[in-house]
Formats: sequence, structure tokens, C-alpha cells
Amino acid sequence: MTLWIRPRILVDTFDCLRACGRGVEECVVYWTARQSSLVVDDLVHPTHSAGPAGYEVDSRWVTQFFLDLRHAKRTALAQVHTHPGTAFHSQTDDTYALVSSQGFYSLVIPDGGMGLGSLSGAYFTVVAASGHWKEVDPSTELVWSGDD
Amino acid sequence: MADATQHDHVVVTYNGADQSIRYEPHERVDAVLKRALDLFNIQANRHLYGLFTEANVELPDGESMEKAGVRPGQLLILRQSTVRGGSPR
Repeated sequence: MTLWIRPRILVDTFDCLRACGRGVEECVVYWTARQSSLVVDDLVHPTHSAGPAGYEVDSRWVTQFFLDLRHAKRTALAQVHTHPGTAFHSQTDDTYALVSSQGFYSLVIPDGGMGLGSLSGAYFTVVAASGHWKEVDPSTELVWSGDD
Repeated sequence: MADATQHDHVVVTYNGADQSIRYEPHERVDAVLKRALDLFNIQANRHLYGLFTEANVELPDGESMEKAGVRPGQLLILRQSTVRGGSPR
């Protein structure tokens, strides 16, 4: 499976992660698409608390987000969050993701997102049919889509 | 012969998608939760999921649907009880 992404989404993602986390705290955004589409055309920045080693999304926000997605006939395809140093998927990331059903992606950006604004050093993973996370290569699984 | 068991339905939404789920008023919440997890094909961390009302109240697993205040046709949200991430140092 391949995830398609509008180019401006990655730019907006880095802008958001940097502005919120300031290279000091972790931050998270969700990439969304129309239902049955694999083209990411929007991102959502949740209400969350954060520190240098983690984040937690506000409970009421999660419920409202799922209601909003339903109303708009949209879906979350991926979560994108920062780590202060190396990018990897921690046990917390594995266990407490927004979505844990097959095909949901997670992208971890190193250095608090303060690097080059590219996917260099990023860690990309997807929920497999077994329910376990499986690392994938962002250079093949993430494809730029269309014009902005 | 007609089935005398009373069945109702709730609508469960998860990540933008809906499923209609049949339940009996005296059935425990966790039994309905299990059916929801199966329908949405959620394999991992199932024990961390719950059914929430639109007011963000998590239904207690051990209660009956009726005692938990669920009404036929009600919209429920399937989600992880806690959503977080982190990089332990």
C-alpha cells in the first residue's frame, strides 16, 4: 500500500511541529483524507499536552475528532510526531496510537522537527494485518501527489 | 416461531467509519465492545479500547448496556481510552 501526499502537507506539518514543539517538546499531527482515499490532503493538530519525552492527546478532543471525521466523511491515515533525537517507534508509540487497525501509518520525525524539513532520518511504520507495526521505507511508501 | 429475544442497535463510529451493531439491553458493554473491535478489525491492544458517548463518557465495561444508559440508535465512539506517544530516555 502506498500513501499519497500533497506537497504542501509536509511543509505545513514541519511548520506546525516546529511552532508547537519549538525543538523542546514532542508534538503530533494527524494526516487526513476523504474516506476510501489514500491521498493525504489535510492535517489536524490536536489539543495535547507534551514534554521533552512524550505527548498525550486530550481525551475530549479525540472523541470530537472521530465525530468530526464521521461528519465530514473523512478518515485519519497517519499520525506524525517528533522525537527529540533519533526517530524510532517506542513501545508507547506502538501501544497508544490514535488508530491501531491495518493500514494506519505512523511517521516519526527526528530532532524535534528542527532539521532540514525532509524525511531524512525519519522512521515510517504501518499497522500490518496482524495488528503489529511493520517498518516501511518512506521513499517507496510515501509518494507526492498532484499540485498544490 | 418468532425470536422472543429483544434486540436493539447502536451505531459505532471509528476513525470516520460507521458500523451498526446489534445488542440486547441486558448484554454487558464489554460484549458489545468486542463485537465492535471485531467489526473494525482491530487486532492489537484491544484491552485499551472503550466505547464512548458523544459527551466523552466511557461506558463501564462490566455494566449492562441498559444500565450504562445506552438507548437504541445511539451513536457511540470506539477509541483508545488514552492516546499518547513518547520516546523514553
